[in-house]
Amino acid sequence: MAAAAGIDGGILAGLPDDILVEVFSRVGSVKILFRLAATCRRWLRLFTDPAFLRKLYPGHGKGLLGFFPRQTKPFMDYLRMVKIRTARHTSVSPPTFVPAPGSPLGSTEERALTAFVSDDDGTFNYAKPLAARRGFVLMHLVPRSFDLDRMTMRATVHRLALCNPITGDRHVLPPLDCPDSRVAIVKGYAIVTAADAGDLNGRRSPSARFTFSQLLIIANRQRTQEQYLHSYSAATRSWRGAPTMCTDGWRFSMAGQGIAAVHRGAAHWLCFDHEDDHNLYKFSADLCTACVSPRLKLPVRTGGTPLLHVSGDGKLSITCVCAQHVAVWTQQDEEEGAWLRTQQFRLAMVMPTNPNDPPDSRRCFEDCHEFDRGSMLVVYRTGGVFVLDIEKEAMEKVIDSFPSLFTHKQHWRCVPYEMDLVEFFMCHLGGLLRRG
Amino acid sequence: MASAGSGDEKAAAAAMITLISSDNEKFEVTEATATLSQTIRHMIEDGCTDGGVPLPNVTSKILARVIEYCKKHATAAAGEEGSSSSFSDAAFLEVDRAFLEELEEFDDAFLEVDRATLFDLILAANYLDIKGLLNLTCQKVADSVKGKTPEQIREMYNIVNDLTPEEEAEIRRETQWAFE
Repeated sequence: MAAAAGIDGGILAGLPDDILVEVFSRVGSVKILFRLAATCRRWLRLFTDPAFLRKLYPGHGKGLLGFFPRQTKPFMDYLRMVKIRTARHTSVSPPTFVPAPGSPLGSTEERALTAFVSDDDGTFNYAKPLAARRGFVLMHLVPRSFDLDRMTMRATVHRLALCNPITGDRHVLPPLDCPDSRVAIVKGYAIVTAADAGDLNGRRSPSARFTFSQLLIIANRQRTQEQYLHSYSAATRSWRGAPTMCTDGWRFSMAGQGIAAVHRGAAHWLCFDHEDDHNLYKFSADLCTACVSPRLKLPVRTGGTPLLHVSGDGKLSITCVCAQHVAVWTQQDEEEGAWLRTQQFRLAMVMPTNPNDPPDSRRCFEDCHEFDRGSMLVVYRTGGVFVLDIEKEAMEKVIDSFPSLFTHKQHWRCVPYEMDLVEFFMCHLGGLLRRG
Repeated sequence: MASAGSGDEKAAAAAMITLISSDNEKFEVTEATATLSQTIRHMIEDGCTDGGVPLPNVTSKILARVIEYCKKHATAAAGEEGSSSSFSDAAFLEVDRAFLEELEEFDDAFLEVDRATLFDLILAANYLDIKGLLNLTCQKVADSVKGKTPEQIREMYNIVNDLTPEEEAEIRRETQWAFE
């Protein structure tokens, strides 16, 4: 510190921590903060101090950064969009992002994705957010151009991209051709990081947790209603091998909006059986081999909306949030078929009620999403957003009433965007200081 | 707290407070101006401003600038209060906009200082707890590092690079995206 002070301008490096928080918190971009961390030892130390980082992001306690609203009607105006799209090659209509209150990514005003990820060529025009994990958002892109032969058959090619609004990173995947499908619809997703896959050539890097490694998607083939697993590797920038058949779409439908729980080197999906009394099944894809395990019937009986996720103590769990209570099943000792109901508790919090809402909307919640560390995000149609801590059996309100942007519209849902920024800094910079 | 005090604002308007800089220069300011500083507001509330308020951390040069800022913003605050009751909505909006524009111009001009003064202003704003001034000055510094490389930031603020080349290389490897 003493070495840096002395000359007039050098005072910045010597300003007390409390004032540096004031300056750094106004920089407004994580990217610039990482550059500041790389200027000198004292600042690097600050950016690896959790207490300092928490002061930098005071409103960011639960890690919820905001939402990407998305339309759920599949390919509603797809043709029209493609036509508009071919006429425009610049960025005109990127997806929007709605920051949560207190989000480091802005106030509650809606922002275009392009405020975070550059898109001069318009790749993300009309793109539809599908899922998000560890800072990455998976987007379904609308093709830039089309040939009429193809379009008569409707879309059979998926164009997908991942982007990271925190780092500004974008990763556009090569087109994925789904043969013999009239309308190819993506039913399931798994965004896999280097830490999940255990790769990076054996070098264990803490930032692996935030490094994109693989994407698994499950696409539906309309003619046969068969669902196939496709696996993409970020390292080779290519789709791997032939797709693997995993489920029969006539009989099974995906639970939890098709978002996989990634656990111990595999991605796991939950599905319902329409023919057999809505029994729950699980199937998994190995991250190394992309092999799909046989579908397994689970001894889990539940109403409501079950969600497969990883519990706080690292076990595969199914949590079901009903109107008044929550039930949790946990897989026992890594034995595929051994599941026990480990928790059942009443929700202390009664439904959020907004007197302006139509009566029928009050009781229904919209979605449950897996949140980090064994917690869950519950979004109600009334606009209330809650974090359910399963271990503590407590529900905490994070947003009272969210702008009715999607909550009152029938065909809108939201992809929650979440990342623990304190952990993000620690994973990238922690442990880099060698001495003193 | 603020609303409770506004009742006797008129009586307080005449009250003057003496601020004493570190180099012993005395500044007479109205209470309305002085109370933009939360630190001084608390001193007034505690009744310990008789005989002047010594500010051992602030030089006369900086204090003069801080007072200039407070005077302008205190007038603006008073103007807003007065106008909200006596003007029609349209007239109020018009006046309001003119005020805000003028204030913005003032702030921009106010920030035209060298870096050393800017940092002294930040320290004074922090010490005196003047939210608006702290926000203004810190934002200026924050804006100045946008789009700059670590080298440029070091050069701009004479920061000595005391990281070893290995450490620096490792930071860049771990956070490559931040340097592109």
